[in-house]
Order: sequence, then structure tokens, then C-alpha cells
Amino acid sequence: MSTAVADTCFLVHWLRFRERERIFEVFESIAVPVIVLDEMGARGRVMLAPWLASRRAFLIPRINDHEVEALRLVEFSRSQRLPTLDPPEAYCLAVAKRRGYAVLTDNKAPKYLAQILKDYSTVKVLDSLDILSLIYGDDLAEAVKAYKEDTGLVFSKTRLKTYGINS
Amino acid sequence: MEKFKEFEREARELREKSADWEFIEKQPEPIKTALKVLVENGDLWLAAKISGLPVDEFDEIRIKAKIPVVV
Repeated sequence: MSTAVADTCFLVHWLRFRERERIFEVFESIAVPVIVLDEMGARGRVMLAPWLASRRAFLIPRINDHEVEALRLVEFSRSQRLPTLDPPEAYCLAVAKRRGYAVLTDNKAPKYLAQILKDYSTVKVLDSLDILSLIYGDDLAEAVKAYKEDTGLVFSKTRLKTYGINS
Repeated sequence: MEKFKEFEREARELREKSADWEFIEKQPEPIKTALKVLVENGDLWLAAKISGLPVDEFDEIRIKAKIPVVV
């Protein structure tokens, strides 16, 4: 099993999920950049605390090299008129590339960038539907329903169809 | 890129249709503007920044405003 670095929006939603602990069936540990932790308020920090205390999650300090690379990615996506890439998710991409981690994000931009940038082609970018699919397999439809109830998140019909779910 | 644009169109329509506009209009600034930005472009991080709230706290308001995050 491997490590994944989590973006703010993914973490905020996943931590609300009733079966959030099952993510450790897919990843041994979750890396949380301090830049991501700083975006979270009291509730999110309290939810994240058990993972940090049990060392299943760990913090990644601000590192100048990662910040410079994140800025390069943000500038690139802007100059090419690509989907908007926010600084925390750009930082996650930079960390993932250097450390060989997967990226957890519910935004489309990092997935898109990893597909078109040659030097990011080895970075695996997964969203919550990908993770639910890996955990639940054939029981995905029920898990999707529960995830929607817990988080207010909706999966696109097109994507659900690719997993054999007709909503 | 076309696939992405199609997804964005579908997602924006869903956000516009699902949003509780009465709730949104009653919110104080800058929360009201932040919620409208979220409906328009779906960027939760940016909307939270505009609101001045941490992402998870803004997300609680997003749920009350019935704006879905579309993945």
C-alpha cells in the first residue's frame, strides 16, 4: 500500500463520510500539507486529529521548492486557459511528483494537468468516486448514495455511467 | 478539453437548479457573493477564500444553500 497527499476540498468532504476510515484499505497513510491544514477550520481539524494522532496521517511542511513548483503549475494552467488550478491542489501535485504519492482531489484541474503534462504523467490523481470504487467494488451504488447524503456532493451522470451506475 | 467543458456545463446547470436562491439572497456579504461565485464556477476553495471562512466552515453554509459539489 502507498501514500496519498490530500487536497483541502477532498479532505473536508471525505472526513464527513460515515465510513471515512475505510480509506486506509486503499492507502497506508495520508499526507496533509500544512498549506491544506491551514485552510481547515475547527471542525475539520477535530475530524482530522485522530488520523494525525494515530500517525495514519502526517503533515508535510511548507517547502520552498514545492511552493515554487506549485506557482509554476498555477501560472501554466492560467496561461494555457486550462481549468482553474488552486494553490493547495498545485502544491499537492508538486509534492506527489517529488515523493511518488498519489493525489486525492475532487477538482478536475489536477487530473487534467496530470494527463497533459509529460513530467506529471506518472502522478496518479484520484477523486472520491475513484476511491469509493476501489473500496466498495460491486457495492459502489450504495456507497455513492451514502457519500452524497453525508457530504452534499454529487457525481456526474456521465462518470457514474462509466462505473455502471445509472442515476 | 471538450469533455471537461461538457462536464462543467452539466455541473453548472445542476448547481443553478439545486441552489436555494432565497437562502443565498438572505446571507450577509461577503458570504452571498461567495455562494454565487460557487454556483457560477464550482470552485469551493476560491469561494471559501472570498467568504473569509475556512473551507470546512464555508462548506457547511454551502450545504444549507443546497449547492452541490459536482465530481
